[in-house]
Amino acid sequence: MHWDPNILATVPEKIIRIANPFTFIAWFTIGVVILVAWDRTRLKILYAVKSLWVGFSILAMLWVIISSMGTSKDFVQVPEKALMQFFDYHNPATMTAMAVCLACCGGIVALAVMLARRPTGGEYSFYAGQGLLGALGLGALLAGAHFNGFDHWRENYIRAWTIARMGDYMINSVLISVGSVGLITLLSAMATYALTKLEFPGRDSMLYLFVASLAIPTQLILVPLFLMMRNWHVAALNFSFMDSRFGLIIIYAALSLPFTIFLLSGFFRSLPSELGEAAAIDGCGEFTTFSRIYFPLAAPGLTTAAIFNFIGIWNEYNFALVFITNPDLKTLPVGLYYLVVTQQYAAEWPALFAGIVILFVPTFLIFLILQRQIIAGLTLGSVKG
Amino acid sequence: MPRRNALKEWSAAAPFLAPNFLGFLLFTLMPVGVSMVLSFYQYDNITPAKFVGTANYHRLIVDPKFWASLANTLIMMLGLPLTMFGALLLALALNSKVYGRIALRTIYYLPSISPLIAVAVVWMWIYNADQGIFNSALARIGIRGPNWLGDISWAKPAFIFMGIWSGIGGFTMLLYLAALQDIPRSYYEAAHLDGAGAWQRFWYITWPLLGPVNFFIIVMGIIGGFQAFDWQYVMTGGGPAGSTTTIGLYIYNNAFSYSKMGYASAVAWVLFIIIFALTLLQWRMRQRFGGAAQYE
Repeated sequence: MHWDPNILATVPEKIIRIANPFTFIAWFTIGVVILVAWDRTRLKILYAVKSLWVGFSILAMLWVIISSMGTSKDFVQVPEKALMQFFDYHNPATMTAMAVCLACCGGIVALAVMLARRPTGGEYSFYAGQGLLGALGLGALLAGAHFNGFDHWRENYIRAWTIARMGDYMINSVLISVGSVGLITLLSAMATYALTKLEFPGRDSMLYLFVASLAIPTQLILVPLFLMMRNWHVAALNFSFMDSRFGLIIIYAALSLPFTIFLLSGFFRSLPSELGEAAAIDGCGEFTTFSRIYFPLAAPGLTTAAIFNFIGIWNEYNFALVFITNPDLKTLPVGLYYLVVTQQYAAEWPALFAGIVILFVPTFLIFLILQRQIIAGLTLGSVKG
Repeated sequence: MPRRNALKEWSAAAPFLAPNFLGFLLFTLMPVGVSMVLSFYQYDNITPAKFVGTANYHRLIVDPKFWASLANTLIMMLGLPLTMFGALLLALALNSKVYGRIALRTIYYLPSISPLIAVAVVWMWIYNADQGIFNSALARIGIRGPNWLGDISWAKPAFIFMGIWSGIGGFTMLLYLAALQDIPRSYYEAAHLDGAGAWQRFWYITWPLLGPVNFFIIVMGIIGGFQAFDWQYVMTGGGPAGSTTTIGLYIYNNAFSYSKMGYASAVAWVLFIIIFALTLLQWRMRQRFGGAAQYE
């Protein structure tokens, strides 16, 4: 059926009234409820919602990657056109390359499934195979892009990396995230050990204090912290929390502690206390008990906490925006934010999208590789604690 | 174990807790105290702070912009039921035997591991008035879509929709999944023997047993909703005409754009009290639910 735009243009008021934002949400909700009630087995609607959502997410991600490979001119086009042009089915070379890429993705999934179904041991050959297939798939994607005109990725990424300084920001981000995650992991493990395995007066109220501080909104902390740190300067060490990578590491670590202790407390409680008591009888002090017994035993929970904190800090930009003003010390998200702000004047969209990919790839890879640990640790530690 | 004296116990625990407590004191407790004091002062960053008593709080009560931002924040939470619904559907899908669960789970997590700034930029282009995905799709069926983020009546729904997309996967879904996996299979088998259909099994077994986790998700969603700030800051800056200014953004703007540090602190304290009350409510209810203490 062909829609004549003129017919609809005569009734815009009616459409607007029906599709008024809030009635729209109400209609949508009612529609979904009716659909579910009508679909007695739930399965069809379940898969429809799931597929819609998954498809939308994948398309958005693909679109970002494609946009980072084209020119500004390609970008200004309608996105669906960019997608169509990228997956140009008239071009056999492109299609072959895409097929290879898809096969590689399938191979990675197949290896993951095989890995999940076999007993443990020898995982590394699977990981190596997945890495190889991933590299091959990426190569095929880039080759396909070469055949359909999206071959500007090299200059886009180089421009993002050098002129937009994403390379420098990457170093800052890596230093700050790794530093603060290391600090958090060690300190929170120590604190959680003391709060769950040692006995001392006021232990529970201290744990409650940490947990209660989770209710403090960021906005409450940000203003006074900024005012405090702005005037605080250690002249002897030439150290200030403003414009300092080390300062930001400490701020992130301190602010992430309550959540991490909260996450780990359930996990530590599930570790048997008898081990510590046996160690005490054998003459171990608290430090030996902690470093030899509980710290290694808590490794799965600590991994989860570390990954969560890493992703959070890697993506954090609010505190970095306030506490870092020196352009040499900016982190990736802050650099990207300034790129967005200045984009409105200079059309460098492909470089901006290359920056998004640069920012996203590390967290995505970490999640992809470690997702089983993340989910296992999370359900074990916090949810069922 | 024989009880040792308190001093000895303290000296054993102190080395483990000292660095943590120092950080907590310096970066959490002290800022909270400073913020409390600051909320009774007028301070513009340049001239010395002036004590004004409760004037900041008096001003807050009659400040239409404060109430508007509170209303905006509440309205933008309206997507929560749909988020929960979608998350439950995804969890049900993951709970049943589906091929490619590992790949699916990765995609489910995409919004929650994506950098906020990247999500914001992508959605700015999805909502773009001329070339955005939505409007080019609408143009196909002859509807000229609104300028989503630039239209007073559409900007809030745009954020609601984005929130649903982002909230469906990730932690909400995971909580549902954990709760679903806790339901003993024997309940379903018994119901199946009694001739209950899939819909009845869901409605009479699954749904009631999800009560505690539902409550937890609602409260956490409201607490998170009150802190909404980042998307609005990057995507609209609170506009158009202040229609997407949340409380968090209002505090940030007052502090860092208008240099009203005292007033910003007063608003932040109101936000804190709201969130703290909600947290207390959640704790109380969790104790009432008895066995639901597992969702801590």
